[in-house]
Amino acid sequence: MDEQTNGAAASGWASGQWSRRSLLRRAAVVAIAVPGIPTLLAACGGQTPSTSGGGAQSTSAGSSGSSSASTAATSAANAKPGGSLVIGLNLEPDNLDPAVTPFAVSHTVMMNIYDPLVWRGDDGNFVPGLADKWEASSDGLNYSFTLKSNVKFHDGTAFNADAVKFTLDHIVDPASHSGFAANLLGPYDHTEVSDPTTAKVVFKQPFAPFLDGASQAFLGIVSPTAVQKDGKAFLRNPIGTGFMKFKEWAEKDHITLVRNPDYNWSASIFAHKGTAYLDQVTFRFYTDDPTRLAALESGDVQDIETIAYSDLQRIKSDSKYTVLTGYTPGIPAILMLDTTKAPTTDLTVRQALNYATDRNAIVTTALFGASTPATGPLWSSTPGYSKAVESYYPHDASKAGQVLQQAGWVAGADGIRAKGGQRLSVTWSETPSADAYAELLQAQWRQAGVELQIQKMTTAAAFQAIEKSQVNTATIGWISSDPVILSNLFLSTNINGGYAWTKYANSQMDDLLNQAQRALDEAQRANLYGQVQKIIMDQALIVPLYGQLRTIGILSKFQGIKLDFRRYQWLFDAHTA
Amino acid sequence: MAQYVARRLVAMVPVLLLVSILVFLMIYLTPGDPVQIMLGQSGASAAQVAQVRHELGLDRPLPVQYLKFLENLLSGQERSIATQQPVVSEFLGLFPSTLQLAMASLVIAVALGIALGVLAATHPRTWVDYLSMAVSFMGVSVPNFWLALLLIYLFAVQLNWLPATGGGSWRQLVLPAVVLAVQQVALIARLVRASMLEALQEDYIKTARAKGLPERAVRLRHAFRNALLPIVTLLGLNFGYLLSGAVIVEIVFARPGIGRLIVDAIQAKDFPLVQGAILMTAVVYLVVNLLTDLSYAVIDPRIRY
Repeated sequence: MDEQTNGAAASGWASGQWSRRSLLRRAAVVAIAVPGIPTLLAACGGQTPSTSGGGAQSTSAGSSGSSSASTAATSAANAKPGGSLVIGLNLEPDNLDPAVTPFAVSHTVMMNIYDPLVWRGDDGNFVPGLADKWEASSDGLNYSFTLKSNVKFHDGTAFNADAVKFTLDHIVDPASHSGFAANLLGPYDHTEVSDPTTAKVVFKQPFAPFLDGASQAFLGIVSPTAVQKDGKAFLRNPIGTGFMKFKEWAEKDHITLVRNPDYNWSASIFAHKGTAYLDQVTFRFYTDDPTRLAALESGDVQDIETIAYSDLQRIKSDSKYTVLTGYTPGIPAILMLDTTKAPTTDLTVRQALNYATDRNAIVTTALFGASTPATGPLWSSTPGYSKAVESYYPHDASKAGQVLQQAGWVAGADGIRAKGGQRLSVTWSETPSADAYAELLQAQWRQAGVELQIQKMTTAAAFQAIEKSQVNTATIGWISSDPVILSNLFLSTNINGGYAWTKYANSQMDDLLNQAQRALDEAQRANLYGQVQKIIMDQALIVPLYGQLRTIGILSKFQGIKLDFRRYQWLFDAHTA
Repeated sequence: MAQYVARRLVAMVPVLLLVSILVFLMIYLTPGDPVQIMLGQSGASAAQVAQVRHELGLDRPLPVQYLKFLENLLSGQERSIATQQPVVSEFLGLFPSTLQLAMASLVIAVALGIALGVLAATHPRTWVDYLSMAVSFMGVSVPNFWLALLLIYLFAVQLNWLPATGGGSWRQLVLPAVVLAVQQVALIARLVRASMLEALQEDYIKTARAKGLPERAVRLRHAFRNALLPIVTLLGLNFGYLLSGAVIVEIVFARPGIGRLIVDAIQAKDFPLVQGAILMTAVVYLVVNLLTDLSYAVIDPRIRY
């Protein structure tokens, strides 16, 4: 490709020496080789946000800071209607049918389009949504909902108990291929409709997490007319009863919602009644962190979700922006250890890994101080969290070494321990969300004589690798406002094809988890989950890392935005100052 | 000429078949399972996952799946697993945006590249020559995502002259087109320079000068026109690459386009969408190549098909 070749090519052509074919061949080499290379690199590396993990699961830990969960509150009197808000998301939803999509980012959009039966307030309590009253039977097998009347879907059809029945049946219908909502319904059996305002939801077994699930947009009530008319079109043309109506979706570009002028059934957790203030909300998609931030700073958008840790401090101290932060309940960022693959089959090894991990260093150094260490499988704000986990395995590098030494793991010439001919080598299917601290963790474990082999992969490949026990560990995090999420990760029935990557099968733990899922008494559930957490920590099935902080950066001109219990944005009260 | 075109069109078919088979095989060999991704957190049992896999036809033998795929694609019925929308309409919906970007960056690259190349060729081995080659060389060395972020920071955030992201308006086209163009300028400039230098050695140039033609006419009307063929070849091949979607630029600038379509589909293991989109890209590539070849007949009257 140097001047010689090009010159020779040109002269060969001009003098008729070469055929057109050989010239084209040479030119092809030049043209393809150079631009081709950057594309290859792009495909390999770069940000791969956890699309496949999807769901209410989020593997992108945010930054730290104090927990300010709402923008400056203006009294309702000062808020005037109008204004258009553009929000930058970090992913594009795959579809907006709550029965089908598993993505947290879909939930972000759907919260505005659909109403749930009940809302969960910031304090964790349930308040009326589309249901004015609800009552669980004493055996926990059914819930009777008394529904609001005079509520309409965006297509003009009336909301009633049949719509509730349809929505729930649609979720469990195998043809819907539910990505996540079916999980929230658990042992759902059917719904009975006695009159337009009464719906009785019946379960095969008691299901304690139901109300929490019913408060999420994944169980938002859909218009039966619209879904029945064309289910496939509904995926991209959602109809609900929410305070915003769907307007359009330009693929890979934006989704636009407009105010629902008929909305007057808002919940008590919001600051005002009637319709929303904003005329329009548009969602744009930026998978690249720096671009998203640039979009905020240049005014392309006025609200972004997820600010990189390295930029968080700067944006927080800029008065042009308000930053909302909050830790998401559920599973924090943790490493799950496969108990069926050596050397993590050994309890001593798993405990040593916990002692060897310096979470504080990870948080302060790799995460720019933008998070808080986690000490157990549940984040502290999750209902059912047991404080007892905090006393396990404080960081102690020398203790890690001692524990291993005593168990017969002797350090070799290169500092890595071995026992009975087996090298203390742990493999990790690492995903981009862990890039910030991967090498730091490797260095920490090395001090204890453990070799951590980092295998970089996309999220989909990483999940498959740990599922098939091709690696010892993988990271996971999962947003959940109910401790039942522990069943997803630790119930033995979820070992094949599910997320129980530790593959630890213990009938006692299974019993506890199943009982806790059926117990309707909060205190009893907390007790049972407390015991589960104790088993998990006793067996050192995981290495807890840090809490997942949601960070939202909003132009200060927009006020009234709050983070809900699960740290999604509530836009109903949003208005321009 | 018509016969030639017909022959070329027929020759496309085996190429496309081969591409489709290769793509089909490749995506099956990479790890990740689309049904798992779809149903991952629904609490679906292994039996349910198997059921969905059966419904989507993913448990049939590969050759059967391949034939079904071809049949569906040709009738426009093939649907993306993730969005359930027809693959063909997804591709065609995003193609105009990529086409816009490709054309805009080609225009910029051609203008700059030819200018630099001609300048260098007509002042060989002077500072003009060295400078233009250095500038174009820098262009191809700079990583495009870095340049993209730099331009966004400078023009969108600091100066606020241009929007940072998105597609649709011509103002949003400027920065992405520039980033893409910068990399092509080097290739074009060097080829133009070399080509022109050779052309300027020819005897007919001496004749033209002897006739008393102004130097400008000598360079442009005679030397440049004869140097054009290799340049057109390069442009044709480059345009094909651009049309397949300059992925990084689309991602960084959050522009809709088929590059992003394909990358997102690959990550979601959305087999039908990946296969369909790559196949359609191959068609575009082949058509552009054909047009490039046909343009030779226009540029050089000596060439007959």
